[in-house]
Amino acid sequence: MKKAKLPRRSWLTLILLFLLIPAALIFCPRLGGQVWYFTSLLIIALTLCAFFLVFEARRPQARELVVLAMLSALAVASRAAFAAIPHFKPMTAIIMITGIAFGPEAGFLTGAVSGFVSNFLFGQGPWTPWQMFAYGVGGFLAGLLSRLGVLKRNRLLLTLFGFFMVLLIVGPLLDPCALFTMTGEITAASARAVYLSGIPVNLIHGTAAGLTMLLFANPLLDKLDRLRVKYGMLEGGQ
Amino acid sequence: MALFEIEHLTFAYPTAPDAPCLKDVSLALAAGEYLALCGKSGSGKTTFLRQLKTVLTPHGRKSGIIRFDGRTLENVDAREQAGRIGYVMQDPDSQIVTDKVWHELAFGLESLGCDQRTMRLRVAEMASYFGIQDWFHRDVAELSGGQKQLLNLASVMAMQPDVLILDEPTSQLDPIAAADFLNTIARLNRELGTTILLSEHRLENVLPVCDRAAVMEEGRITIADSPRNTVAALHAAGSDLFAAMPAPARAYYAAGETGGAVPLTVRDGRTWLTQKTAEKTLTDPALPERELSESSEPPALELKELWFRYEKNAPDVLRDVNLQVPKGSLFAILGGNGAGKSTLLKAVCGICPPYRGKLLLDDVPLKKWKGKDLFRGNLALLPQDPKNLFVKKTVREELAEMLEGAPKAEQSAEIERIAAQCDLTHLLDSHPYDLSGGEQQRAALGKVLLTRPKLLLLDEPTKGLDCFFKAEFANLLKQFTAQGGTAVLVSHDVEFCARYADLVGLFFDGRLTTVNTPRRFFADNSFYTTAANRMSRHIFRNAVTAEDVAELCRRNGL
Amino acid sequence: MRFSDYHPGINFCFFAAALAGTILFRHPVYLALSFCAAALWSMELKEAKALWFDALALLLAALFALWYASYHHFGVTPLWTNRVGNEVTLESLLYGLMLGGTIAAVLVWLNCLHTVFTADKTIYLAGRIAPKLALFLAILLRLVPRIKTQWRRTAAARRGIGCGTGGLPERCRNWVRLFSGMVTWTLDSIVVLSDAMRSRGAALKGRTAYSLYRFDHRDRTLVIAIFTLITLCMMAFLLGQTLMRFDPMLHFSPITTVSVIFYAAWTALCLLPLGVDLLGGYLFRRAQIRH
Repeated sequence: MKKAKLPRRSWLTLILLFLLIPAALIFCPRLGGQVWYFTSLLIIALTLCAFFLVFEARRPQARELVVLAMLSALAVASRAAFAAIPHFKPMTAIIMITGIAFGPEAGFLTGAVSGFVSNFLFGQGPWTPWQMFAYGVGGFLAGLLSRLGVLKRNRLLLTLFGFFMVLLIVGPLLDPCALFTMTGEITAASARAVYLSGIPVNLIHGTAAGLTMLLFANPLLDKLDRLRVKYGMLEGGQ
Repeated sequence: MALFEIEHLTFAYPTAPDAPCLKDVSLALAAGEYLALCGKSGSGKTTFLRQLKTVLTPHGRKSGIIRFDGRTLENVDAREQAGRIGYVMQDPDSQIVTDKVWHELAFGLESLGCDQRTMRLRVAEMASYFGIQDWFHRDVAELSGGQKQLLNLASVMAMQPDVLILDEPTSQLDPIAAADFLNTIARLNRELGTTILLSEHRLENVLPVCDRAAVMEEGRITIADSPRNTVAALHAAGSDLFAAMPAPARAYYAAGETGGAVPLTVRDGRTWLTQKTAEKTLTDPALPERELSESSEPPALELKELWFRYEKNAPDVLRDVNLQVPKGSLFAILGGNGAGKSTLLKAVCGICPPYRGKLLLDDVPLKKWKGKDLFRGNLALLPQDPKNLFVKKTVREELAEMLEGAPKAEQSAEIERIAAQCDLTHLLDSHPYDLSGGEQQRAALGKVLLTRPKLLLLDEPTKGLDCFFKAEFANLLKQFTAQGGTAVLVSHDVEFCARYADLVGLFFDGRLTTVNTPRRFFADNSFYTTAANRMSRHIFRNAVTAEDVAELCRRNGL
Repeated sequence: MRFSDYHPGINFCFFAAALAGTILFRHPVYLALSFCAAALWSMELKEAKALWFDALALLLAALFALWYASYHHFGVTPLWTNRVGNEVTLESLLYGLMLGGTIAAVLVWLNCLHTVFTADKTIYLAGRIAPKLALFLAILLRLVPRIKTQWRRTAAARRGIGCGTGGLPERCRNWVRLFSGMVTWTLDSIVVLSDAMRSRGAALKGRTAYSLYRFDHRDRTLVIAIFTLITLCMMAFLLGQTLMRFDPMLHFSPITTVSVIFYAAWTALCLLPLGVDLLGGYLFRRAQIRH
């Protein structure tokens, strides 16, 4: 993955990640008042920008672009399909599957963009950047673990992974969105309250992810394999 | 000077290295020429056309030379190829990249890295030339199939290509949209001098306007000559491709003519027939009619004053539909786009439940049938796109899905039976998506027939099929009706219905207007009828196919 | 001439400024101005439908204040004692009302944003910075409705042969197969899509982005106006004019000539789009009458 020479956009990414974000962390609180929400938003926005620039710099091929767009669209459609059951979002699982099939960067991109586009249907709000970030991280981690060989294509393993990933990482990342928007300040008590009240929501969300993994992960990965074989598409995707 | 020169091109897919798909193809395409490529599906047309643009060329072993504008194609860089060689594919829907019409028009220019001024100018030009300005800001999803294909064409033309390659661009369109599209192509060739290479199976619209017609058979170009000479050569060679030629030409040869100028259009056909019958008295201007037999049996399907609308405040799609389909008949419903034909079929099988009226299946009201029973041994619908029925990895598994619950031995016996009937035996272990269009249609029919329906509903079954697959498919339907089944099909395909249906009805404005035997039905119409009928109606009373014309010529001793 | 017809960059700057101000300024006057301006504009954009939304947002703010005051007990002015024996103070109630009001105002602004800031504009703005990302978004926006249509078609096709009409297990099985079939179809069709893209040079270097919008004189005027107002508001922020203390007691900064100027600047900024829309309507009517 590592290249000897970094292109200009990668430098920009590094600057964003390692200079601007700490800078935001240090300076924003000094503006006075309760600007936690504002600060965290800024950090998330910077992280997202960094990843998008990485994507832009990688010169993605048309085929990869299209397959990722399709998986992303599938994720959005699956969220729309289950809009009637609150918090039941198979979307997260599809994003993780994308990460597994195409690597961590693709997983992050798909997650972030799906979060964004699905909110065109559900309404954009202060929660949008949080969702983009949380789903992105979900896709990223799934991709990373699969690339490191920890996550195998075992049905049970994938199911458990989907469930716990949402319960322990994606869900808790989504919760603070309520924390920061609802109350202007963070205290240990308010944080605990938000996380505790988030548990049932995350349980439903995690169940959705686990179920989706159980039923669809392997068929979907098989179909992607067929595409690879039949059309020579996505060669070297992994 | 030739724009494209192809010399001794041979190409084999990696899956079948010993059976090349293209064999020693040589062809030259002059600048400004309009060349039509005809051939059966599977003869290698698509493979051939894809060789002409490097990014689209499939993997495989290739020999021979392709020259574009004097240079071998490999030496023409990707940017030049993207701009100068335009390529339009079959499916209008899948080719559109972006969500907005304006963005789609600009897509190619964006790729070429044009500046804002150039893009604005070109996009404005294209939108005006193709009449897109009224839907310039629309979502692509709101367009009709014809509009989508026109958009594909316009967005390729925005890059100002020298040559336009089109691979069966109208196979998914209805006849009116297809004729419009092909007229636009002819106009581009005439007004802008764009070189055109088009593969097409609606030859009646193409042969009269193209400069040359090339014939591809089993990976070889066998004929490449002026349209008239090509038709004559095909007839002389006794090729089965002759069946795909325009009706006037077929009638001409079937009536025993040799030599002379073959009529390719209805107008020329009329002139020929007028000259042929001049100063002769016709003893027998009509073919015998088959009488509508009054059967005592209850009809297979009866609709009484059916009304349906999609939403509470939406206009009615079906209004006061009355219909009787006799047992054992092949009943065709014709009609324009959006007339509600497909909705009618959906109403019959309960997907769109009518809010008023009666629906009797075998004299039993539809509501009496409970869930599953209706679809087991009674009724089945073959959807417009056969792919929509496929959910498994092989054709065998597809067929087995319909037999779930039955013992294994019985299952495999049934699968063998239906596979033999629909000619699927050699395809059983293929992935359904790897089959050709015609094979998919047969596999879908096989799957549907496994429910052993008495009444089979078919939605546009001939869409995208060439005339050989159509004939094959018609045979399967005839077998089905011969065994006592009843088939109702809705279609745009006038020629198919005229030839194979027992009864034909016209669906317009939410109701079924006339129902009659094909001969009476088409003899009464003057616009909505077959080419053979339009060509001969001033002389013969009820000829609807080229064979009818020839038969009447013989009967009258012409 | 409506605000939404101006250059997307201007739309974006305006919303960024209005939202940032609403979130950052902790001052009842600024907040009230922001909420009123947003509510008026939303009613102009969406008519009666917005009225309900705005009223609901206000109700939410009031409820939030009550909830907040019953958990936070700073301040020196006790109002009443709640059931668990804690005092509800005026300060915490007002502070809660302000936090709730901030959320309400943000929601109303976002409601306007949803109407004005279409996907087209998002893609345009993304395209200025990252054309490939913009392309990705455009492809995605095209695929979502296609997948929905395909889902409906596959479901209808399967109902036409009687699949999925039985009990719950049968329905679930049918659902899984339906999904599988739909995915195969979509994957198959995007092969064509990627060919079409490459055929039109999607992989070439140096992609640009077509712009539906152009930056003209009226845009320039509006940009100058917006940035002048933003500068004034930033000055207010840096001078501490936009903060109000609630703890331990209410401390309202005195109203001076300078503070009135800042109030006016913020009001003008928030009312700008509404003003532009109304002016556009007036000019149109006048032109009609003259005719």
